[in-house]
Amino acid sequence: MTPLDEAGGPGPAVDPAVVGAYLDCLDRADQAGAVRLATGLLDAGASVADVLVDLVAEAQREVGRRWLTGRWSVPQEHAATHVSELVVAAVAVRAPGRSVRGRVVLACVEGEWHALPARIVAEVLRADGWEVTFLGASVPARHLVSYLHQTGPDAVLLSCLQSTRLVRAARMVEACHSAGVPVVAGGPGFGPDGRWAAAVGAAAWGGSARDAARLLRGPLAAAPAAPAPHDDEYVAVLRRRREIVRFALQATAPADEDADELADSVAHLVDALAAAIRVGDPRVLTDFLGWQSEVFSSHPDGRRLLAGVLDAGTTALAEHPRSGDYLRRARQALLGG
Amino acid sequence: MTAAQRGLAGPVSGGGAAARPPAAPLPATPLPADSRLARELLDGLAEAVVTADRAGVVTLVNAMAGELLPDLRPGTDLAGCAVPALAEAVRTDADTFDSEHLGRRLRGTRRRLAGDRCAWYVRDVTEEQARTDALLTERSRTAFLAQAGSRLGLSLHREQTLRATATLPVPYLADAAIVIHHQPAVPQPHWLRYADGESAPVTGVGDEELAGSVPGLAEALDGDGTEPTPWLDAELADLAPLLPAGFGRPGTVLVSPMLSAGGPAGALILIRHRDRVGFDRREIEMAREFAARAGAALAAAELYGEQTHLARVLQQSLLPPELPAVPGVSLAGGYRAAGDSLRIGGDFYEVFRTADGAMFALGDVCGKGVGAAVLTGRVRQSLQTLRLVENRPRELLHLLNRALLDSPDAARRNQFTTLLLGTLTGGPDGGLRIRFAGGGHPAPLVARADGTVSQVTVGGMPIGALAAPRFVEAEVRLAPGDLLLAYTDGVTDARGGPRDMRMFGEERLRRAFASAVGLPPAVVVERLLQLVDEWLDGPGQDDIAMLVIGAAARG
Repeated sequence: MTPLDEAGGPGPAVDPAVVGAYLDCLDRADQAGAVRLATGLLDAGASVADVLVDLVAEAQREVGRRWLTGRWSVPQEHAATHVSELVVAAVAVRAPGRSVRGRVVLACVEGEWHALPARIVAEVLRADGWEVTFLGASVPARHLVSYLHQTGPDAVLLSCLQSTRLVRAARMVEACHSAGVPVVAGGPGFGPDGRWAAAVGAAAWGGSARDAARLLRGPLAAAPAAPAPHDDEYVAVLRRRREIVRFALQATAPADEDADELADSVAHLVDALAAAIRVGDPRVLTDFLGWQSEVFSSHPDGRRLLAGVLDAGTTALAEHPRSGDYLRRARQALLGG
Repeated sequence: MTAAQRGLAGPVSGGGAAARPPAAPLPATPLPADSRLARELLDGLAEAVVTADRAGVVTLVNAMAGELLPDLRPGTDLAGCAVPALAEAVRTDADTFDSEHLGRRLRGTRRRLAGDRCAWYVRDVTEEQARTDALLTERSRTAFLAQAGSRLGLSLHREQTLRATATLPVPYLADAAIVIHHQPAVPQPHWLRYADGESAPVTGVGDEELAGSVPGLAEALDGDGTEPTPWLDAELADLAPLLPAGFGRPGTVLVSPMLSAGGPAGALILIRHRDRVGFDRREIEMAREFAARAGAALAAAELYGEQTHLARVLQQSLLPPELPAVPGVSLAGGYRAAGDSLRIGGDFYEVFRTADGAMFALGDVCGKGVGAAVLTGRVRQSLQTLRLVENRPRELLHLLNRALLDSPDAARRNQFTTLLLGTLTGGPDGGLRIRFAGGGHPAPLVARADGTVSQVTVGGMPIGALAAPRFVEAEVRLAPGDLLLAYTDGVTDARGGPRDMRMFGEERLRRAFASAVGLPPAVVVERLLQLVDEWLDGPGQDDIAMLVIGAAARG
């Protein structure tokens, strides 16, 4: 098999029934069983990309769904993800990489703790002939930069699953540019079809490990000029994060046992608002809130709290026109009127 | 007819812009019927004027036309005349031409005259063109050097700087560029080439004679610049293997030293194809300046490389170790350095296998940065040695304290370390017995399988500070499903939070730990690190280290 075959191939190469069996292993936290399934596919001739993308990543999507719909608890989701991480490691050991292409560095955006997708990308690229350094979850920008200057890679792949981290992603892309290294963005955090990747300065965006392999084979702009932020209002919004949280808590007066959780939610909402302003698209905020409203809807007082939080934000940020505009739009989209 | 009249009305002299909107026709003043006056007026013009009849045959030329276009005489067929650009314009019915003729830059505009005749007004724009060219050259030179400066300034990595040095001058300054540089302690020169059309630079190693066989290369590597030389087959045969296969025979070669503050860092060879003109004075200056900037960038990258190599060696020795697999024990460690680009600090953990289980240590050296890191190294090393002679935790703490106090200048530094030591031994029920000895370290937490969390009081005094410290021992038993969490104060002291700056605190840590019961230690560690990271929402002030230990099924 040539390296080209590793990432190629159309469509899923793994039977849905096998994915189902794998999910059962995750459900039982059956490490050995999950590893046996994955390595069995390798033995049967499947490529690293087949196993990691069509089995592990596919199953992880279902894990996410089960967590979101409340079928699985957070600890269950963590345990399942842990098993998949062990599977990725086991697959990696079975398929030693041949570095013939070049060197890339993979990092999760600071604050991004979902490392499994990036780990999968790392192993698929390694199998595709790249020398890959995986820096892990939540990589601080300055650690990344010092690493870039030490190793001089051909590209950085930056993984981001939550759009609330886009401001940090933008700072990391900027830092990579200042070290002269192009960035390939990856993951849904950069928006549907990666629509916000260009706004933060990424040279390209991919939604899967196969995308990453394909993009790296093409030419990447050596040191593309990062676009200037659409508006620097996001800096002021972030600076007032705690103030807005306090104000929203005061305005909504939640029950004591809900206060901490609500404070976290409002803080993330401020992050989403700042990200929306940074990329100049209110959809970052509306998408985030659409997802949050499900969380709120499980709470008896959820609708009132969410409306209260949005109104409090609008009041607190009265002198920031774009923030007010985005918050009003989000309120309308979510709650009507 | 109307078109012809409009054509007559617009002035051609001055800007000569045929596109200028026609002025209002002057009131018809009768012209004197004086052919001599007409001739004098024509000959007085600074433009050449050539008129032609409907067949395109020249009918009249003025004095300037005699100078600029001496080949045109009344009777010449314009479509076949000796000014190719003009002939081409006439054949294609174009209204303008622009051409180099007899050493002058000419720009001509056609005007239609009454009766299907036409006139060509031709201006000498040689000086104007020269000024524009000079301005454009200067601009492109400034742009090139600015771009080169920023690209070279971007990287602190040697290879990347070399790549930028070879790719930037192509094709602007040359068709191929070769950087000759020396790696430390290798006599053969290394080269890196980039030629126009190549997707990426190519590298290789030359033989030791290379410098001597290319004219000017030895001088450049010594720091001296030489004039560009034409490609001489005999002398430059050694350079030929460095060129891409289809490059053909080169024309001119310019070798420039890559100077830096510390002396020459290498040499830059610029090569042009045979059909491209040689380097002019200005280009040689530019190549020299570029090579000098590249040399400075390379020297900076080399210096940075040496420094980071030192830092990395230190870092490697201090990063948390891969934990050994211990039968009957499931454990995981986590570490986050404070916002320091070296990723080293004063927190650490170790796990050693022992005859009947394992020993672990989790410590925190006071202070931050390299100073703390050096002491951390000393503590860890002492621990690794002393545990070979003593494996009872409290006795080991005493030994370690003595070792640290005995070390040179320990008193002057006045640094101390908090440490938690523990031994793990398996019990018959599949559980674990843990014996602790504490040196002033935060008390570890135990989470029972039912979700209750309690503290193990250990106490004791920090080590490395007092000659006769008091250390305390404690013991705890973990049933299968129970978890132990040992952590450094960076966890509970982390300042942040969504509302106001406050400490993460032990209460929050207990709750988080309780909610993680039932998960494998690796997942617990990651979950706790994530919570603290989110709490901080940015770089922390202090290092964070933790160990989570549980009983595991044997086998």
